[in-house]
Order: sequence, then C-alpha cells, then structure tokens
Amino acid sequence: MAIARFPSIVIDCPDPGALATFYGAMLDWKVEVSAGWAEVRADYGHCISFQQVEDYTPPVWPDQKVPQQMHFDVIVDDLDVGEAAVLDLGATKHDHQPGTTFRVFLDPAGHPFCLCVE
Amino acid sequence: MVLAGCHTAQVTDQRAMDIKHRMIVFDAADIDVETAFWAAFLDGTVEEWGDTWRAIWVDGGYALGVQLSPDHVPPEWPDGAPQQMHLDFYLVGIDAVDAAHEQVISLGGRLLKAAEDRAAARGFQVYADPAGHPFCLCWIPEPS
Repeated sequence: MAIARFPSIVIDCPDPGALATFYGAMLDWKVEVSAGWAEVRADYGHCISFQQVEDYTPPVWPDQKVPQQMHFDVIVDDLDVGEAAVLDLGATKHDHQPGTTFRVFLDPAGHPFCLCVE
Repeated sequence: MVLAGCHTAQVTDQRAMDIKHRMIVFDAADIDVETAFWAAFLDGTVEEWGDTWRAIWVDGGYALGVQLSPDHVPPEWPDGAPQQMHLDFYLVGIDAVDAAHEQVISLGGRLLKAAEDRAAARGFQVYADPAGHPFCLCWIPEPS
C-alpha cells in the first residue's frame, strides 16, 4: 500500500496569480487565486498550486548554478501547434533544444517545461 | 508550504490545449535511489527509459519521472539553492502523518521541519527525499 497518494505540486514564483493563469490556460483548468497562493484544478481533481516567495530566483537550465530541481512534461498531439499556443500565452522557447520528440520552454516565472509527443 | 485553502477570490474558465498527460520530473544525481524512494512511497512500478530516465506508473498514469542530472545541486530549503517547486501529500488526521513519517524515514527520507502545532486541525511536516527535494506530509480533518 502506498504511503500517500495524489501528489499535489506547489511551484514557487513571484506572482502566483500570473503563473496560475498561464497554466490554467495551457491545461484548460480552473484558476483560483488568493493572497500569496493560487491553484489550477482539473474537473477530475488534479491540482497544481503556486506559492509566492520573497526574492524569487528563476532557474537557469541546464547548468546547476540555480537548479530547476524539477519540471513538467506535458504531451501534445503536435509540437508546432503546441508551441504556437504556449508562446501566445507568454512562454519563452529555450535556446537549448536537446531532443526532437520534445521542446523546452520557460513559463512566465522561468521554470522550464517540455511539450512532448508520444 | 502554505496549506491549500478554498479562499476563492477569482475563478476563470480558460481555453484548451491538447494535453494528454502531465508528468512531474525530478532531477537527481542517482536516479535509481531517487526512483526507488518514490516508487515505494507511491506504491508504483518503475519503467526504465534508457540510462538517464525513470518513470513511475501509478493507477493508470505516470505519477513522477526522474531524470539524470549528474551535477545536481540539492535544494537547501528554506535557504540556499532554491527548491523551485515541491510536492504536497494530504492525509486525514495527524495519526496518518505519524504513520507515514515512519515509512518515509525508513525509505531514506529526512525530516526538515516538524509540525508547529500537533493539536491543530490542519498542519504539515516538511521532508527531503534522497536527492534533497522537499515535500510535505499534510494533515486535514476527517471530511464532514
């Protein structure tokens, strides 16, 4: 039996509402914003939270001066269509693109995430 | 490490993209140690994707991934190298957190911050996984 279930990830950032709006639009999940905290939630219950931190430092990937520590992979049908959509939402395409089946982007707070094809 | 509340100030419907799966991927210098911890924690099965990647399958979906980062610098929460993000797990009642605590420690997790008020209806304890990533075991009241 598992010790715990349903991990809920919490992302540090300077502006929880802005980042929740970005991921809410990407995933089509509902956005809820409160003081210092925001969430995006799927109809089926999955949740990502955003926590405001002081003196936030964006990760610098791929080196380890300011490590990313972890990142999101999301699966899309078409990388070109997905790329256009996330750029429109405020993502930045990373200069370093080490693969052909995925593309690396930065969210508005600078966290790397990947659009992947199966 | 604020507990998620229901203090809804704004609810917005957003438009869709074609997202099929979502996976959180940890960086770690030793992916087998990191994967073994989380697979045991989540009671998942491990898929080895080459030498540099592990995926943990739980309940019909990919719960977590682990990616080789040979020069990985562990977070030092709350100071030092930023954690950037962390996982929260919610359990019902502090007794469930106490039971989970024993298992986490036996698997190689470390307690970073004990509960501030064990008598409170809600609270959390902060742990580090074998690669140093913080995560919280949170307790909530029995649903009414």
